[in-house]
Amino acid sequence: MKNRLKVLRAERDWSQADLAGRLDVSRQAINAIETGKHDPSLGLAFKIARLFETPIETIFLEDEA
Amino acid sequence: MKTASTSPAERRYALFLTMVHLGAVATLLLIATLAFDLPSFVDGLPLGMLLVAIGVIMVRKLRDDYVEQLWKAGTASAFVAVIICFLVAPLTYGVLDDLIGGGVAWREYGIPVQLPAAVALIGFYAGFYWRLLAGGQEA
Repeated sequence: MKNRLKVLRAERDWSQADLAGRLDVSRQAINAIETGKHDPSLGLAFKIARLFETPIETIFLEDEA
Repeated sequence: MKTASTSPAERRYALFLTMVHLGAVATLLLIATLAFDLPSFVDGLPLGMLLVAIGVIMVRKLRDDYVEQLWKAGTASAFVAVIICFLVAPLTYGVLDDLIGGGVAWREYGIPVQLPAAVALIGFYAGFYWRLLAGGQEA
């Protein structure tokens, strides 16, 4: 699943470590999400949306069939 | 230059991964003791390492969202490996033995008692490392 995590992070000038710290996950988890290797769980997706104050649907983009 | 401080989540991740690697090394040593039929006191070291490693990685608190997915990939592979080795393989062997003949029942082979654990561990690490290194999405 594509996502705009890297863009949103860059807008706030946060490093992956910064974002990981705010979400209480490892930096590797953030990297895996940004590179598309890993889709976050629903709980983490909601946490990310709350952190960025943005709806989930604008962060995570469903792959087109 | 990296700063010295790491977050609690980073430390948990580092601890988890270290234990996984330790368990992988211990598994290889354990298989070596089986393969080369070493004395039983020799497998005490890898068994001890394995118990420590498994004890740590089973602690749910250490697993964040991403690590949980790696864990699930490993445990799913372990399950498949055990099913294939101890259900599918004997069944297939039995069918082939009936067709071709040979007369040696599966149960007559001296299968080491550690084999199921070894198969499960190999399956776990295969799945875990595949997911870690190759990434990939869940089905």
